[in-house]
Amino acid sequence: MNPFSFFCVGRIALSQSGLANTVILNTLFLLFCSLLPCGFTACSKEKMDEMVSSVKQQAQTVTEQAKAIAASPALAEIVPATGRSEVQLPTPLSTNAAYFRLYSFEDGRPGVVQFTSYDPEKGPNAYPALLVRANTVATSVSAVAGQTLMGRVFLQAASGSPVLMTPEGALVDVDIAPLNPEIKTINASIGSVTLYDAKGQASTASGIIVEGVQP
Amino acid sequence: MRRIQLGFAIFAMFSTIAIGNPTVQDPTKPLATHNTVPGAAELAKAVYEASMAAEKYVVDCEQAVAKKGGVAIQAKMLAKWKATVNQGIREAERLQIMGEPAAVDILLRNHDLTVRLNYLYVAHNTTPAGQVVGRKALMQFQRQAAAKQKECEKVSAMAALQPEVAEAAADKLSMELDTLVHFVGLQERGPYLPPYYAARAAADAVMTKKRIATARQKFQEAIQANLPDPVALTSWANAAASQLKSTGKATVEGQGDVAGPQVLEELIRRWGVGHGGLQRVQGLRWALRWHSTGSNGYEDSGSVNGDDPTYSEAIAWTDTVLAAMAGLIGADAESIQPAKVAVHHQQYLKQTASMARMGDARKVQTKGNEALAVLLAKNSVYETNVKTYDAATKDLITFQTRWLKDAVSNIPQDFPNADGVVRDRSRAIGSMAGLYAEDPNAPMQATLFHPAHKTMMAIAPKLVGPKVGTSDVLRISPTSKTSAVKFMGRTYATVLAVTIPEPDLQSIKLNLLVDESHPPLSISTAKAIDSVLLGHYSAIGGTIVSAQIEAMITRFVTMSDGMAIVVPRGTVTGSSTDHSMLNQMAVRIDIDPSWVQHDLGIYRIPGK
Repeated sequence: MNPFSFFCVGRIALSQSGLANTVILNTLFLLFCSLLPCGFTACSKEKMDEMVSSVKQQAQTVTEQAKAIAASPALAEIVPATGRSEVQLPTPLSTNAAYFRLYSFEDGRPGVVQFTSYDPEKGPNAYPALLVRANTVATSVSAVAGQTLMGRVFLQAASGSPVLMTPEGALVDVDIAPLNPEIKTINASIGSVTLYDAKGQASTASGIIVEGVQP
Repeated sequence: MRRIQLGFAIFAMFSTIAIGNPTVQDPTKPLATHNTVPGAAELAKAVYEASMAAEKYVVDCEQAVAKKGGVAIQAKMLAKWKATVNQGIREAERLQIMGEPAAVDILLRNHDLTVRLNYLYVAHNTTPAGQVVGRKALMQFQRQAAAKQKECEKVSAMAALQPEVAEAAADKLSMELDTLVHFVGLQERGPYLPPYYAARAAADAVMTKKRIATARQKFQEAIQANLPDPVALTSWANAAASQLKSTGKATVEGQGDVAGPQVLEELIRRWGVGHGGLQRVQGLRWALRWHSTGSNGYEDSGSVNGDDPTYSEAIAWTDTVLAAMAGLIGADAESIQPAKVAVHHQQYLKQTASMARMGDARKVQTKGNEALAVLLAKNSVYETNVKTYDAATKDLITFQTRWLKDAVSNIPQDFPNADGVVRDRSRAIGSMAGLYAEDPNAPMQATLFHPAHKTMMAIAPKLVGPKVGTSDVLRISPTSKTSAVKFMGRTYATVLAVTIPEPDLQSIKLNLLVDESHPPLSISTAKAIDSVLLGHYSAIGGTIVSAQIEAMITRFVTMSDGMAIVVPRGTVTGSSTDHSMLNQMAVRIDIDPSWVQHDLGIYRIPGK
């Protein structure tokens, strides 16, 4: 597993839990306000303790609720999960969108996992265009997650610029991160990889990360 | 008939020659004939042999004269070969009417020999012995003048009713005249010639017209026999489609009732026969053009036909075939059981992939996909599979195709375009024979300016060895050892078929999700797999190891249906000249490949 990918997966997770914390704090503030009138009147210590304990309980419930909300699809829609990709070339390339597709077949042939930086419905016509492609016998996302597959990488930095790719037959490890219920993307990383253009000129990427959105 | 008999008589005099075309290995091989007019091949062979024998005499004699001077020449032999060469020129002119490009070569050979024989006559006639021969020849003219006058008049009189007999007699007279006349001075011989010329002209006038009529008839017959009939094809396909629609089978001649894919196979076969026919028609029309451009010097020969009808016929033929293909698949789709959709679809894919390879790929793919979509709709589970397969493979193909485009644009540096290399290396330089004019701005037409064997001897050493690259390589048949490269300008090529090693093959199949029991499910992947397995390459690079020159007309008139893959389906080769094509040549090169480019990558042959 590439440590770089851990970092990225972590970063996305952090930003999501940050949002959940904001929700919790807001809820606590409202609860505190509801307690205010008591502060201006004479309340018994017992009453106070009871109220504090109740607030604590409510806060706990709210925290749990917020956690649940954070993981729920409804919140994921609020959080724009477009995916992203990064290719660590001497001049790094990145996109703010990435896609994950698993194609499997009824007729028993092996399936394919494809991570793309472009919308697969539209094809590699948005640049930089990155395709990470690996065969797999898995037929579900959960079966693919956490696996290391053997695949190929194709990259075109801009329209008309040379296509770089891993050579036919020289497969590279594609590490797919385990499923994380807190994030919507399926994440893959590739360690150091050498890509060749049609002139045979090599470019080495120290790492590739794709966080692809599922359909 | 007498003409052919005379040809055979000459033929019997000399040893047989190998017929073919001048090659690097054997530059002296004469140009092949197409024999559209019966008898042309035998006549060409006989005249070639006579011409070669004459050349041998001339070479030997020139060497003897170089050593000993004119005294080394025997008058009788000199006269015999002079008469042979002139008879060869007459025969070649007849071959020209028969549309045989070999005629041009024979004329060039014999005109060259004429010049050299004239030098030998000068060397001989200026010796004391030669002067005696001259005086005797003049006396013979005087002695037989009256008798010959009568004989010549008789020939002239015969010409209208018995032209063949008159021509044979005129030939005999011409050869007799040749054995005497060149020993006698121009002024002294003058009075004796008119009767001969009159007989010659009378016989030729009738026979030339007759030959032209025969040749035109034979060419028209051959054109009619080879021209494909789109209307007939459409009605055949419509009948088969309506059978498929109602019963799921159609009757194919010689095969009985067969399913849709077998009917499509028959359509593809007919497409190929028609395409081959169109190439032959193109060659036949080029040969006929000689009769209609006035370039033959016969005033009554009609007007120039500026258009190239074969172009539009070729487009129409392929359009008809593609419409028929869509009709057949559509008809099959109407009656097919859902369980059979996958099997039929996969067979159709293989077939449409091979059709796309041979012709206008885009048109075939568009038409094919439209037709196949109807079939797919009959089995939704399989249809989903096919759509998923397409989605899972199309980006890979897009990237590979773009990578290859870059690769190909880098190739010309090391492997320059084959046609350009051949042109540069077969250009005439000064007095050195060549196929292309020395002026690089002259039209890029390989033309026979010098005898074919001399041209080949001059260019052969330059043609072998250079690295060249070329596009569109098709295996002639799945079992053939060679692939053919389509015509580029006036060059085409054959390449030894290359086998891609198993590991490479496996990784390509892996990429395309294909194995023994899982065939490709889209036209483009089926085409890619075909490209790798059958040796259909989009480009190759390698070294020229051999070459041969051949006449364009003969190449096309004798084009086999299999070899016709050198021209993409739906097109014909243009002539790019408004004049007679008789002297227009093609160069075939044999390439030892260093690398091949299939649909998904480039395979470099180890050690090359």
